[in-house]
Amino acid sequence: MSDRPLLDDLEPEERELDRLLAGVPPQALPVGFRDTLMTRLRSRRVTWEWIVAALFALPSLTFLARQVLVHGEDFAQAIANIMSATSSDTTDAFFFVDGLTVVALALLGIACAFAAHALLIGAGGSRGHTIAR
Amino acid sequence: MTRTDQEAVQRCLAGDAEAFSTLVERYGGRVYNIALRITNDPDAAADCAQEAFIRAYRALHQYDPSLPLGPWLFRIATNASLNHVQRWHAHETPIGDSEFPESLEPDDAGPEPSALRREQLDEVLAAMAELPPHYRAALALRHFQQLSYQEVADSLGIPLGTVKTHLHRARAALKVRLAARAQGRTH
Repeated sequence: MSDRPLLDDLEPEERELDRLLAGVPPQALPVGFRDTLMTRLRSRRVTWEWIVAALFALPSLTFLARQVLVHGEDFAQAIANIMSATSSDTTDAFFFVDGLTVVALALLGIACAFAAHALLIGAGGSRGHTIAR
Repeated sequence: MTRTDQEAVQRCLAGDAEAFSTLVERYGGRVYNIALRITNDPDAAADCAQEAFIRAYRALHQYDPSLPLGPWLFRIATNASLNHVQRWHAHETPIGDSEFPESLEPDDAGPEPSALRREQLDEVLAAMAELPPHYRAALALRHFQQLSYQEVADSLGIPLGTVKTHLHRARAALKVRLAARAQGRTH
């Protein structure tokens, strides 16, 4: 017999059909239903994080690439200055970085953080670990 | 750890997605069986149940914790299943052979009554599969899930009077189909 509770508002004409249908055993959930569902939930969350990472990273990378193309010599000179300063007794290591470049690098760092988080969640999810916030 | 539905929802909203798996464990079977009775297709039912839980997860902030979670989830599952049926006409899919295992349930009267009972249940389910989807939904919620009229109304998002009308017509249509099937067997 079914172990489902009986309805207390059954009308007389319902009783026969209810008795019949209550005898239909519930079907078991497909194997792996919950795991598949939780993986889908995780993947949606990860997709969202990858999109945010891309939104941060792409403009920053484009700007940095442009900076390298336009001011490549300045960057090379700055790196040469730093290298010479570390390999000699002099402490003068002049280089100049504009504010936009710093902002682009910061945004790239944020994008990397999002991407790393998405990767960790994805890896954790595939092993069935707890979802990070 | 056992916690109430509302506590699990609160934890989900606070960012603990694992708490949602508790709700999936608790309601997964019922949601799947509602979808199964509406779609008549185990694969489609699994898809609809998954979709229902994903929609529920994304809409948890809209859930009113002063109300029971079950009917809210069942409503989402019913909508997902009815949408699926309307989109893919899954109700036209002929149901296969008996969905019940050979050992349906222990029967003290021996194997013969058990086989008869299985056959009878198959007949009922086959007749039910011929009903319009919204009738199947009402019957599934009322008789398979044992919900009250008000809970069925909440789950379907329709007025109480409409639920009673649907169920009355669904029962009448089911009886007609069962009679037709019985008549078809005798000829």
